[in-house]
Amino acid sequence: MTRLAVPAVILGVLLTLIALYVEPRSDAEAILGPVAQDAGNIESANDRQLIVALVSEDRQKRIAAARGIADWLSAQDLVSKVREGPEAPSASFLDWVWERRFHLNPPSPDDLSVEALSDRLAQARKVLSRGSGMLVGDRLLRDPTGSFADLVDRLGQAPAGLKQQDGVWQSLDDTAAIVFATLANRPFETAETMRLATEIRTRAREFGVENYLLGPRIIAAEISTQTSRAARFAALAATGLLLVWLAWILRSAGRLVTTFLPLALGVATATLVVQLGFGSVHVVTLGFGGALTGLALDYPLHLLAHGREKRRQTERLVLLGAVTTAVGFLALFGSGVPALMQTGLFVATGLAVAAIASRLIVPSADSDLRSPPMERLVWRLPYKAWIEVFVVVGGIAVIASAPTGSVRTLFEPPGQVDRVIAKFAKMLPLPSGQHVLTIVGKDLAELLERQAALRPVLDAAVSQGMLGRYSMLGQFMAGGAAEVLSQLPPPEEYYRRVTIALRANGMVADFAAIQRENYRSALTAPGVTPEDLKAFPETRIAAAHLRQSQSGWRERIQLFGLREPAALSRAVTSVNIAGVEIFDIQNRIENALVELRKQVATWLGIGALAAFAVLAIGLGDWRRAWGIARTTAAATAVTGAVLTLGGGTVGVFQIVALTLVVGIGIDYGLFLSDPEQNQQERARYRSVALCAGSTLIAFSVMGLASVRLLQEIGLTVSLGVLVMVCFNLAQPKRRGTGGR
Amino acid sequence: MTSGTSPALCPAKAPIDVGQALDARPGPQGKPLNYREEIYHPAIADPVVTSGWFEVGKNGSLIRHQLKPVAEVTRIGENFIFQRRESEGGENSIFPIPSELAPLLSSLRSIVQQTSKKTLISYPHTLEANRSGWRLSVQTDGSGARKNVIVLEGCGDVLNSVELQILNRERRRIIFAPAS
Repeated sequence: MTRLAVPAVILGVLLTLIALYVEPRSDAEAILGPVAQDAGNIESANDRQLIVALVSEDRQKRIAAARGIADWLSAQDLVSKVREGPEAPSASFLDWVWERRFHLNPPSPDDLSVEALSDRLAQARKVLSRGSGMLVGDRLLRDPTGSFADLVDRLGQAPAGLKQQDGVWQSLDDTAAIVFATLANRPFETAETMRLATEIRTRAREFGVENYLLGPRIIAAEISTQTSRAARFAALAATGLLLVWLAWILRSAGRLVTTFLPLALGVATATLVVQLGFGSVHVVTLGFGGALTGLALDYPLHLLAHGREKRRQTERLVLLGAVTTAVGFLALFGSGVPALMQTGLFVATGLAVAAIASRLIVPSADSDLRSPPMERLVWRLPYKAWIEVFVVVGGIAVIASAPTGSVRTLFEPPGQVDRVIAKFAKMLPLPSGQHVLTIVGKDLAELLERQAALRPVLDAAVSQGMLGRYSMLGQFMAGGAAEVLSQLPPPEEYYRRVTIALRANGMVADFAAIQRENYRSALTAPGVTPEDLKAFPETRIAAAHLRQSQSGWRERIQLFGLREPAALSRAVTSVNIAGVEIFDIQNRIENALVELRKQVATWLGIGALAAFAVLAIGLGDWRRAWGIARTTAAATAVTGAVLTLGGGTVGVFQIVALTLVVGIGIDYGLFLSDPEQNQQERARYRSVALCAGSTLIAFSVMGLASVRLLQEIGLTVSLGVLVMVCFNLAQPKRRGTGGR
Repeated sequence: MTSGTSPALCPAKAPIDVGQALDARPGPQGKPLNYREEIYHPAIADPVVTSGWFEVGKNGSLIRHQLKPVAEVTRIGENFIFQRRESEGGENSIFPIPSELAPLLSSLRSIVQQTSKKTLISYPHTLEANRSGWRLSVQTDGSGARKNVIVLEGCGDVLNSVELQILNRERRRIIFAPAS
């Protein structure tokens, strides 16, 4: 037990360190790179938005539900803001708008003609009789340029063009009340987000209405929950079956612990090494790397199966197998993708530590392990070497012929997400998640000037039906205001004109003096600064998609109801405004995935070559190394070809899983190709049978998971193991002793 | 009733103090409470006139049903005014209530709801009486040049009108009268 006590204590220390220091990371940028920035980020303000639709034919019922749920949401720490109906701008914000109206919405010279001023005065007088007249009527009379009036109109516009009833937003198809919420600015956590969603749904049911939720964090939480649930189930099922299998073959609880302990040490050490090297551990690394490190379970099994006499040789082969596989995975560093670099380091470290730990922990003893009689499955394959070369070429040809554009997404959202989005698309115009229009400027002024130039293009697109509407800061704040203001008439000229306009309306001409002073104040008011954008909730909403970096300012313009993306793209690019870019984010992501796949395949190919070089040096027998390489390559090529023929293409994670298959091939090849083991056929076949059985149990359960990512990894490795065993059991015609 | 005038002679006794004046109510009109509003502004020579009736909404907000010049409904909450004009497709608009108008709207609400207007008693006030009736002036906001004054006029325990005066700006006088 002493042999196990020390490793167990070390494992305990490692797990404690993990709990204290490891920081999981889940951002898409670690996989996709900068293109992920436009794909969305669940930590950004925009992606903390949540929309709740409460559906009922009974309008009063859904309005009551909206109010009740909005009240409840307002009291939640996880929610920072809730809006179930139109919200008036605050009085202080209106005061700020009034003072800076000429900078926010400068009047044009046409607005200051006598005719225009006269019309505005007539309208302002009518406004006095409105209920709102006591609030804005006076200011509209003081400023008949239309500057303030237009701003008030814009501020009163409903989000997404929704109508409202009794102060509650109603969907476009009049089936639902809509509540908008912003989640608190704190790190995304799946469990608490799911709890919030569940509680909203429960309350909606209590009100007797149907409910739909939409928001990036909600979707992320549902994906994460579904993936975790599937992964947990797969892990539990696989672990349970593995325990049963290993208990049956090992016949001893002590050996069971001995078998798992090196793997646990390997995974724990790998986690800490990645944390040290990268400052965090990506969830992809933890999940994927952990699964791949399952190969480490083979090492103790080999040592136990071969017994005391062949102990040293078996240790050597185990270490050599671990090192060659580790070299293959370390090649992932060349991909430059943080999540994959981490995975490479994780697997390499895990396997190396597990191999060393196996050597130290597994006792040197003869053991009577149970195992399937794999030696009976040896079969004859004449001209095996030539056939393997042919299979490699053929397999590569099949894989290379796969259409490169058909790259699957990395993570598939649950099916109900698409249905919910389709439902929401009928209720309110959603911003396009596929087509992205961005605009940059070295400072805020330049950004707004460029938006001012872009605005007529977008307005024309709306009027021509290419686009439903759009949202950008430049609709609220005008660009180039200083230049426009410099062209306006001086206060005395303005005084002359408004005097005429007042008389034309039968109004008091002396009031022109007050209007002149207001005009002068507006002309000389300070401009809008970036700090102003943060000063009010209203400005923060207007600037929600604005980002400032060292290189300048960037805004992603929201496009709603985009019907003709190609036409809009042509219209935008034809005006050639500097800093404006429109692109299909889905294409970019697909291209990024295609590029990622190429990079990963290239570097893993380089890694495989390096691994085989290490193998040849380690074995000191290049012919034997070539034999192992050829058999492994043939089995891998068949696996890849079958995946391609079945699935259309091989994804990034499948490529990484195929690297594990290569590692497995090296492992099996080392033992089944050893010419010195002819006299102990049973031991070598027994150890490989035990390893293959363990791997198949673990990965075939994963292959049955409901999440596509787990299915792909599981099926790839399971198929690879079967094909690898098949090729390794094949013997050329001339050799009668079972050697190569 | 002619606009802007109290009864020629007021036979009733004037209130003895501000509290009694604040307890005055519009005449026995029951619900709803009809009104005529005169809006004066430095830019216009003749007042803009509106008319309609007030009621109290389900959640205690004051609802103004304007009949002339254009039909519209305005719901006056604690902090916001909600406006709906059928002639414009029934679209609602919403505006915040500035601080200088809050006392006037609060007074109107308490008049219609027949609750106490005693909150006004905390402001500087002047009570005058003559043969035409009494007049209570309450200064509700002393910010700079904008001295806002609420003026209540009545005869005995009958409140005839409420007026908000914003210095150098508009003046709104609400006269409780039969709907025109």
